[in-house]
Amino acid sequence: MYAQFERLKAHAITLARSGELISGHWMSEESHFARFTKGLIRQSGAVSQRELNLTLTAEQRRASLTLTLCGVFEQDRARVERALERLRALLPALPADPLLPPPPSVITDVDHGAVYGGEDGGSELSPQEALSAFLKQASGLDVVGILMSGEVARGVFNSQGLTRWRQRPSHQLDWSVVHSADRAVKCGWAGASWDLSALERALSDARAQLDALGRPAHTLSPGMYRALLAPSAVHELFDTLNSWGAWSARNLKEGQSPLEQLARGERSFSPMINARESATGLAPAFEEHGEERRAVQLVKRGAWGGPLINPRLALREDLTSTGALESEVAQTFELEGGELPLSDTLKALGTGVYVSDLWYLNFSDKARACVTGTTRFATMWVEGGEVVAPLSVMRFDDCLYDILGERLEALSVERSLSVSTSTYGRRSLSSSLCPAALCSGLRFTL
Amino acid sequence: MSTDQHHEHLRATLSRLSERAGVSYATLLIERSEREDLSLKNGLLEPPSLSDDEGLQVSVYHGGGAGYACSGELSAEGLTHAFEQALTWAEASASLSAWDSAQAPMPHAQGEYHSPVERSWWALGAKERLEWLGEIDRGAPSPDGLVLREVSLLADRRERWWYTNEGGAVYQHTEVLSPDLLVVAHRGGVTQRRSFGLRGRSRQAGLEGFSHAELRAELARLTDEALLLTSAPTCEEGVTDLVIDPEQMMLQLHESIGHPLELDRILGDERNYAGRSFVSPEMFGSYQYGSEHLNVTFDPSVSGELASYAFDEQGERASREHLIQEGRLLRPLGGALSVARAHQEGHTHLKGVACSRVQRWNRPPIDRMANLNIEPGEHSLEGLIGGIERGLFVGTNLAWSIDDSRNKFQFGCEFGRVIEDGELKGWVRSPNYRGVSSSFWRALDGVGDASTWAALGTPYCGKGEPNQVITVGHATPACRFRGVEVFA
Repeated sequence: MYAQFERLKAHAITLARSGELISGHWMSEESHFARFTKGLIRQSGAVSQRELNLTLTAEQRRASLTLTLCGVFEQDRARVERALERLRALLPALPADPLLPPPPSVITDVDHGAVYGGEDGGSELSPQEALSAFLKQASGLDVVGILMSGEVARGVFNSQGLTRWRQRPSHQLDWSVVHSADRAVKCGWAGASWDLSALERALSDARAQLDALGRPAHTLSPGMYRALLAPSAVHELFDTLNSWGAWSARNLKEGQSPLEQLARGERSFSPMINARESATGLAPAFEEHGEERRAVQLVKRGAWGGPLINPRLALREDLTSTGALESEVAQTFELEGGELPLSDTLKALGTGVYVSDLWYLNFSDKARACVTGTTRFATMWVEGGEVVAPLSVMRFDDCLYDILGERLEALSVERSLSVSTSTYGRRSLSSSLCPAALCSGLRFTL
Repeated sequence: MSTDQHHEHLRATLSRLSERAGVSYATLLIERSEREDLSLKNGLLEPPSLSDDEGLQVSVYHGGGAGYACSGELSAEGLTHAFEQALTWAEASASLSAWDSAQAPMPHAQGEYHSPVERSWWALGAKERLEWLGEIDRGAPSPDGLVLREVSLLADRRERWWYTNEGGAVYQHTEVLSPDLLVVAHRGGVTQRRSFGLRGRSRQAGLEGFSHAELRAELARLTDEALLLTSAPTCEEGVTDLVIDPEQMMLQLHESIGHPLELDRILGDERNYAGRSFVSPEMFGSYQYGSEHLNVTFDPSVSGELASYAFDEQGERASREHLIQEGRLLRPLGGALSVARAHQEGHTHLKGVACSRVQRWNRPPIDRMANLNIEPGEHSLEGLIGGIERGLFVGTNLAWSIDDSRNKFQFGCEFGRVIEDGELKGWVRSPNYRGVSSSFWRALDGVGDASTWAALGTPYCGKGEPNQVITVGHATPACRFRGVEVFA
């Protein structure tokens, strides 16, 4: 993929006329996807895709066009030339924009990542072999989910000489071991090379939880209950904030951020809450035009840390850019751990709800950061620190300033990495790192 | 080489590759699309975002297995490589397949579909397009308290060619325009928004489908309402009667009828991601999903509705079918392949609809909603409201959430109006309501007539592994429900 990127880049920058800046954001992948259900393959295939978002800037005007490439240079060269002509025809129709950010400093930063079989000490299996081996390991279980495998790359160039490239082999399995109906253990694994022993361990852990899922369900009446949120549930809470642009400087300006009250200093979380956007991780260290993506303290001791600021917005609003993507959504979210060892969390919960996963979160009152959603998968009723029974699905509706504020008793020492499984349009490279959270109350409503 | 000649060459290549590999059934989907996203924020044009996309997808059924491969390379070489990848997956899945592809339908359909367009957006020049958008915003009010006024347009035109190894050939050309308005107001520490809701006015149309005068009037109305809502009280918590406008009914229908009736979900495919369904195969034909007032159709033939088409992406001819009639559950949203799978699992009484759809050339077909509509009833809006002593009229979706069995839901709306003694009274801001799908629709006791009906739709329905977001059409009248739990 890199050779194709380099060759096309070299051609594209020769097309820049005097006074023009041409920049490109490359997104490509060679992926295999295989869905499975009930331990058998449902739908499997391969996707080879290359997209180039081409931006033309001239005379204080800017427009972009995303085109699909085919990987054959002669054809892709013609596509780029046609796209540029279309953008050149559009620019004069646009009003001048005096606040277009200048291109980032020229830099060459090429990172090809790990080689198959090298980084994790895993094995170099074909996706078909990996899937077959996994389904064999899962024999006798009702497993449902997806295998995703292959190289993913992001690159940026501009006609002033900037080049940035990041390419990663990425293999993921995202699956559930289903006991019955909606009772299941959610599992996930990601790595640079297949690690069948890790998959075996995950399946073994899931098997161990199935017995408890088979017990008669415990049903709660609506009300407030002590709750232990597993790292995946904590991830869902923060992912809801993040994906709705809670830390977006643009959203704050337009009155659309769910953390407006935090930003204005009217509300706060517990001092235990320290969150940041890391500049390292799986995601590229640069935004769509190549500016360095910087670490940002998002929440500091429960108070507002700072927003994510895209270079364009920074210039418009006289702010300092953090190199955030156009979406101003955190790519590598990290929530600091606390002092409670994970092994002690059930004991600390005592009697209450162990929430393994939350589902379909949305805001019931965005301005007050009130969120609704439901429990999912292996959510259990716990008494005296012991798992008693699976919980019938419950809806909750509560304010994050309360759940993660005065009701937050502890965060676990250990944190879990959640690698995004999102594949809308293309495979995501975002991730989050979260601890478990023990709360004195979570308000269930239905 | 012309498009026709190029495609003829690819079709011959597909047939040759299939014959050589002994493949009984193979399909080729070729897609070409163009898209523009234009937006004015507080009167200032955002940098336009355009896209040109093309690619192909090959599907191979072989030896009881199946595989697909997608590529941006539209040459015979690209097709050959994709075919080999698809065949590799077909062979690998043959002994581990959840279904027997040899028993699946293998249509070789022929036909065409074109969106009903009189004056195409794409016939305008670049400057004219920007002027068309600017005309909506021209003279728009900017009162104190207005934080954001966004006028945007998403334009999409798409051609799809679907071929089989034995002569199937379908061509479908769609043009979609999706104008959207959003107003955010902030006064006295309260932020409120009014909008079209999830791009709800999206439709297959040309410029003749939208009037500048109407859009300007809508913008002024939404601005007034957003400001008014900043000083409106929240609604009283309790159980009350509800009249829901089409902009919220669209989501109510989508989440608590559409998704639960997807056959692939019922068969278990989505249990790791989008979820399962409280509906089981045995319920079709007998289960009372809602009251006798509830009539739901799968209808790809409504002219201009967002997800109209003649064939789905597995070559099945699409037709109007009742999914629910007088409250009784009749059919799932299942394409021919899902129905065949259901039959293989013993559910031979099931009949489906042509709803195997792809978002784009790079994702395989799965069961989707397309146009899912509620048929009009007999009440005017005044009649629906007039039948309520104390209640609430709510509209335009603001938030949505439903459990993974598509049962326990909660919705937020942009606005509410108190109903007292059969008349609309004061406004309330951000009303929420919740319920359970399996009982909610039985509380439907009045369905609006054609005067309350609106053909809406949204381009944002997400589902599937790998994920796909797709257009869905939802035409629905206003509806009245008894005894609903509402809260602020």
